[in-house]
Formats: sequence, C-alpha cells, structure tokens
Amino acid sequence: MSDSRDRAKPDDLPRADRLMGAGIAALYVGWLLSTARNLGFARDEGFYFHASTAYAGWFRNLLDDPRRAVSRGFVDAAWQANHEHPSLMKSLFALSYEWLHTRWHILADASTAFRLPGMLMMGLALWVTYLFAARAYGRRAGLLAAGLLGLAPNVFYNAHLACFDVPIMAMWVSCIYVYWRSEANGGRWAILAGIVFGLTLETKHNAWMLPAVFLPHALVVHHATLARHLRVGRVPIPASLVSMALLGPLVFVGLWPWLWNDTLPRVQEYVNFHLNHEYYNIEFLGRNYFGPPSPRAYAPVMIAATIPTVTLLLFVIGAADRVRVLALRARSWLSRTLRRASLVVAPPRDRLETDLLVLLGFAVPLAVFFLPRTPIFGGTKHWFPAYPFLAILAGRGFDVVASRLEAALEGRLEPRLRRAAHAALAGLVLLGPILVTRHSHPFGLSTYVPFVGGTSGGADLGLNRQFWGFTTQSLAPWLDRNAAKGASVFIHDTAWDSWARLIDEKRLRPDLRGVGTPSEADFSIVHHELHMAEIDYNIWVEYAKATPDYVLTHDGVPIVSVYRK
Amino acid sequence: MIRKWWFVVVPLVGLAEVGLHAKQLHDVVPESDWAAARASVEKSIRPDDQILFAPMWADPVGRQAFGPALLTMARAARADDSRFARVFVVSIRGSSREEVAGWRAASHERQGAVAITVFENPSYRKIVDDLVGRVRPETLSVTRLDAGDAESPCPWAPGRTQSGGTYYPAGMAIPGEKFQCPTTVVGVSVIQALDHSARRCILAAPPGAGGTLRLRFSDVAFGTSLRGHHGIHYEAERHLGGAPVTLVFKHGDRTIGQSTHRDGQGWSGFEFETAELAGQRGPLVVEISAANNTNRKYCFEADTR
Repeated sequence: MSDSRDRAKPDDLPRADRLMGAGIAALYVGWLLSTARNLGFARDEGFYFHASTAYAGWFRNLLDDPRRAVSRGFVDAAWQANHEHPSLMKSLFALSYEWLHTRWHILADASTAFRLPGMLMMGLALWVTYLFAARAYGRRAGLLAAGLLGLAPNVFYNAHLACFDVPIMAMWVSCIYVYWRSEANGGRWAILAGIVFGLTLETKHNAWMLPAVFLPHALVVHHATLARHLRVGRVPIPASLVSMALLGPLVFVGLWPWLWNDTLPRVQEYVNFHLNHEYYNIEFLGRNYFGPPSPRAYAPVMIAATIPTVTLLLFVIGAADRVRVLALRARSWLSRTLRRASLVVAPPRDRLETDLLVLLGFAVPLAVFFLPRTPIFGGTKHWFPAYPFLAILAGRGFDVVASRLEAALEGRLEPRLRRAAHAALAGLVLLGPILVTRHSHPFGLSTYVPFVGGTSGGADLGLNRQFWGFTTQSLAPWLDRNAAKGASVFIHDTAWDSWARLIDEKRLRPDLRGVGTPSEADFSIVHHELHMAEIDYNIWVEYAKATPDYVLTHDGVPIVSVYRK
Repeated sequence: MIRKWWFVVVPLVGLAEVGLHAKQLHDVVPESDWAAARASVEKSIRPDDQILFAPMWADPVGRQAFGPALLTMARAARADDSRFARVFVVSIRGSSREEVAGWRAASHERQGAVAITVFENPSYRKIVDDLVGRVRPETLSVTRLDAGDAESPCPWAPGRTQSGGTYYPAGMAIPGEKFQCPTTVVGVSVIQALDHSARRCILAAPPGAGGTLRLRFSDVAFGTSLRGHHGIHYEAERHLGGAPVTLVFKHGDRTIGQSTHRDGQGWSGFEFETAELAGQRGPLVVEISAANNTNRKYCFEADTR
C-alpha cells in the first residue's frame, strides 16, 4: 500500500474520474427509469403525489400572479398538504410533474415524473460517492464504492420512489463531501457547504444529525488552532460551520413556504411531530414491534441480511484498514503530546482527517438506531445516509484486496494477465450484488441476501416482507385474467392516491373499482405483514372460506393473497 | 502463506454469493409439487385430521394449493389441536411445526420438494359437542344483564359482515350472523390471537359498566369435561392494560367452572370436569363480564369431550 493512498487528495481528481462517476450515475438512473413501470406505488408515495400536485398548483400561481401566490391564504392552502415533512423533494416532484409530464409531455406517466427527482438524487448519491471515494482512496475505490452502493435490493427499490429516503442519503453524503472540500479549499466551498446544509435540512429531518458529524471532526482537525486561540480568548470557528449555521436555516425556511407564516410555531410543530412520531408495526425475528423499546440488534441484523455479503466483507476490510491507520495516528499524536518516544511509525498525517470524517458519516446515522426509543418501522431506509460511507469503505476494502492481489502476482504473471486478474476480482465482487439486485425487482423489500437464505431465508427468520402496500400492482396479470369487467377490489394497505394512480396509468385495468372493505368487494387482497394477519382472518369470516384464490409470491414466499367472493 | 493470500476470501465469498443465489432460485417449490401433495393428502385424510403447513409463512401457498374442501375453516382457524386425531404436516425446506414436537410420526412421504408427515396426536380427545357450531337462534339465546340484574334480550339480527379497512387496525370481523346487544354482539368470528394465529371462536365482548353477557345454549350434549380457550384480539390485548374478562359456565344452579382471561395470556385454555353430566343433554349457560369493555374484543370457544 503506497503512502499516497493513506492521504486524502481532494484537489487532484482528473476530469476522467468526474465523468466516470457521472457515467455510473447516468447508467443507474437509466436502469431505474427502465424498471419504474413495473413497480407499484408505496403508501407514502400516494401522500406525496397528492401533496406535490397541490404544490404544482402553487407554482403555477407563482408564475401567473406572484404577488397573490405569496399571500398567506395561497401559501397555506397549497403547502398545508403533508407539512410534516420539508418541501424540497415534493417541490421537485411537483416541478417535474408540471413540466416534464403536464406541459412538455416528455414523461408519459405522471408517476415517473413525480419519481424522477428521487431517481436523480440516487444518481447524485452515486456520483458523490464515487468522487468522495476516488479522491480519498483512489479510482478503483471510487468505482467499487459507487457500484456497490447501487447494488443492494433495498436501495434499488427505494431509489425508484417519490419519497425522501434516497434523497436524504444523497444530500447527507453531498453535504459531508462539500464540507470536506471546504476544509481543504475554503472560500466558495464554505459558502456552498452552508447552502447544501440548508438543502439537506430541507430534504429530511435526518439532516439535523449532521452537526454530530461536523463538530467532532472539526474539533479534531482544528484542535491545535483552537487551543492556540482559546489561550488568547478567541473562539475560532471554521468558515464552513459558520456558513452552515447562517445559511442553513435561511435556505431551510426560504425554500419551505409553509414556514413563511407563523414560522416558530410551525417549526415547533415540525420538531414535535418527529420527536413524538407514532410507532408503526414492523416484524423482526418473528416478533411484531409496535412501540419502544426497539431491539438493539435491529440495524446490525437488517444490514447483514439486506446488504450483499461480499459488500459487507469489503466494508469490514476497508473499515479495519482505516481504523488501524487512525489508531496509529492517534498513538503517534499521544506520544508527541506526552513527549514520549514512540517506536510506532505513524502513517502520514492527513490534515483533513478524512478517515475520521468517513467513519463519522457512517456511524452517526446508525447510532440513533441503537437507542431504545427510536422507531424501527422504516426497515433499512431510515439509516440509508450511512450507506454511501459503507460503500466508500467497501471501495477502500476492494483497493486493499486489489493491492494484495497485485503484490501476490508481482513477477508471476505478465501485466496483461494481471489486469485480467484484477478485472476478474472486480467481476466476482460485483456479480452477486448485480444478480441479486436485478432479481429482487419489484420485490426489493422482500429480498434478503443469499447468505441468509434469500427471500425464503428472510421469511424463515421472521423478517419483514414488505410495507406500504406497493405490491398491489404485481397482481395486474392475474386480475386481468380473472376479474370481470367493473369488478371491485378491496385494496387493503394500498393508499387511495396510490390506487387512483395505478388506475390512471392503466397499471391496473381501469374498469376495476377500489373499495375499502371486503364486504363491498368481489376480490379482497391481503398484503402479508405479520400484524396484518387480522385482514386475512376478516376475509375468511366475510367470504366463509380460508383459502385464497391466488397467492402472489416471490421465490415461493407469499407477498399478497387474493380472495374471490 | 495465509498472510499473503488471505484476500482470496473476498472473491470466494463473491462466488459463494452467486452460487447460493442460483441454488435458492432453483429450490423454489413448483406448483406441481404442491398439487401432488394435495392429491396424496386427499387420499388418506379423515374428517378429524388436521393439516398444518411448515414453515408458517408457507401457509397461504398451502391453503391455496389444497383448496377449501381440505382447508376448511375449522382446520385453518383451529380452536385447539386436541380435537384432531392426526396431523398432516405438509412441509418444505425441511421445516416442521412445534405443535407436533415429540409426537409419533406414523408415515412420511415426499412429493417432489414437499414432504408429508402424518403424526398421531397423543392427546386426541373426540369432541361430543362444540359450542361454536351452536351459535344460531335455534340453539342459543343471548341476554344482557345490567349492573342491577335487569335482563334484556339480545335478538338474532342477521346482516352484512363488517370487516377489514385500509387503515390499521381494522379489528376483528363482526359476523353478519349475530345476536345484537346494546353495546356488543355475539357471533362466530376468527380472532388474531396474541401469537397472530387464527382462532375460530364466539365473539362475545363483555358489555362493561358492571354488565354481564349471558349466553344460554340449549340441548348441549355433555361429556366428561368441558374445555375451551379464550383470548382477545391481538391489537387490543398487546397493550396489556385492559380489564380482565371472566367467563363462567353454569348448568342449572351449578357453576361448572370459571376462567379469567388477562391481557398477555394470549389464546389460553381451560378445562372443567363434568363427569356427572356425561351422556346427558341439557342447557349450558355462559356468562361473560369485565369491569369495563374498553378494547375488550373478547372471543372464546368451548366444547364438551
């Protein structure tokens, strides 16, 4: 391993790397677009479709009559919808819907227009992950980091959605990246850090945890300066942090019209909503959790069961490598501070403390899931911000492995064969994640990695199979064949707005009628989740039979049951 | 050597991941195996036999494959296991069911990837009469006693079943065929027990406010014991804060037995001796009460043996 790889190199990334990262992002967004039509609408998407449509109306008003649009009545009427979440993504969904679908007819499906900003955010996450890893640990680390980030079934599923979990992942890594660049370059990067921090706040509330990344990191990076200045009574604060403190709230409030009126009470309401969030039901290891305390094993087990094992192995190798380097630096620093001779040869100093920043970027979003009062109903998506850093460390792990391969083959094979060996190594690392992710669609939430037994292994372990009722669309072929014209369907966990869009876009036969109870329905569906077994039993009583007429499965595991009256 | 080549574990894990994925896709049980298993079970099953699918998550697939003639409501939403002489465990992936742990396997066969093992039930006891089957106006009358002992009738009021909903919790189904009391109903439903299992039972929520629900079954055939189970719908019981529900069985002036269900007990059993009534037919009164009826989606089943 060369010394140069132990130091961050934020300033000398060739243009080819930027293009390579963008190329991976573009390919991935293309993949998402090509598979979007197969994926039904999640419950929350239905709510965001509704809110974004209201926001689109406001944007139209803003263009037609700006003075009237910013009046309190107009603002509150439009932005009240789903005001428990910030508006950045819903605004982008709205703008995409208004222009790419309604006005310019570029996207035939309104849903794809709503979803496109989320997909582009996934592209951003891949691009920034590539740039971060490539600058910190080299090109092959960047390539593998970006590839492995996208090649996980849960991530692939969520990357399709008009929701906030992938966007906050993208903004989280982007914000930390910009902060890192600002530490190296200051100036416009510091200003950009403030703006990006505001955008991250405006994406989802996970952003409020970012100070737990920046403050300890800044303290380590600037401790010497800080100590010097404190002695003379001054408190120096890095420009990026000042910028975040000043510009972040301005961007947050400025881009969220709901906060333009009654700002403090509405901010208070927003904070209270998330601090006192309802606990939804989620199955974990065969038990249904619906309130605190949340199991501490949830995040580790779910990560192990949903991230391809080879990715996790590379992450462990990469993380161990960086922790070792950090430990050596810390030991060397301690020796210097205590003025003791040290026999340890310290790795070159990295004034940006990149390894520490990467480890904090990974650990902070996960840390809250070890607290007993943190709800766990979101499955893995609520800690997605940790994943770019998991991928960066996996990229670093690949770099370590590739270096070992180089060393092992040195002098044994000619360069052409050594290059082939490297390509084979990358291929063997990526092939499993590619196959598993591709096969998971559109049942990304039901899929578990091969080492835990795949989808049926996850079911054996009693892990959640789905939530949000998005699998309704996958019944379309069966309903096409079996439902009479105008038949009614009890839609169970499908949100009404999601059902309406499934019908609007002819993803389900437009003559089918959604109804709210089995008694009204010709067909009743059950999305299989442990706590929702009551719906199954309700239908048994209603239809006086306990046998479904069709069971939609993924790899043999029941996803949705359909009963005919 | 190991220090130099340890990195080989990475491509090996990658390769294993691909291999396991391919195997898992290959191992998915085809419909034809389920159909063959059904045909095999159909040949030898008797009315007092049970069918269980393993693992539990395969249950919907099994129920669909076996159909309503085999997977009757009594089997799918069984009140208990002791009423079945034998249990056919139809399993995939080498799974079994804890209900039959320690039982003797009488036979075992495979239909492709589906295994069928027939277990003999060591605690089988034949049912003489089942109260769940007697919830109809010819064999049951229902009244509500208020705190002052004033008794008011709860008429038979058939209508549409109320079930389901698009928001959780929907609660348990209110059957269409039911006795209607001022604050409660009596009818046969299926409860989601605390362990999420389906249990067919008599929905009979206590009326609360010091009141008692009184069910008078006529012409019940008695055996040597009266046994049953009771529970509260999962979503109501899981919060563990509800009032205990007391269930009392009477024959004439004599109290046969009583059992109190407390939150957290789940679908729990009781048994009372009725040797002196064995072979007789006569009325059986069931009384259900609780200090209050908040979230008391109570359900019970009972039979004579």
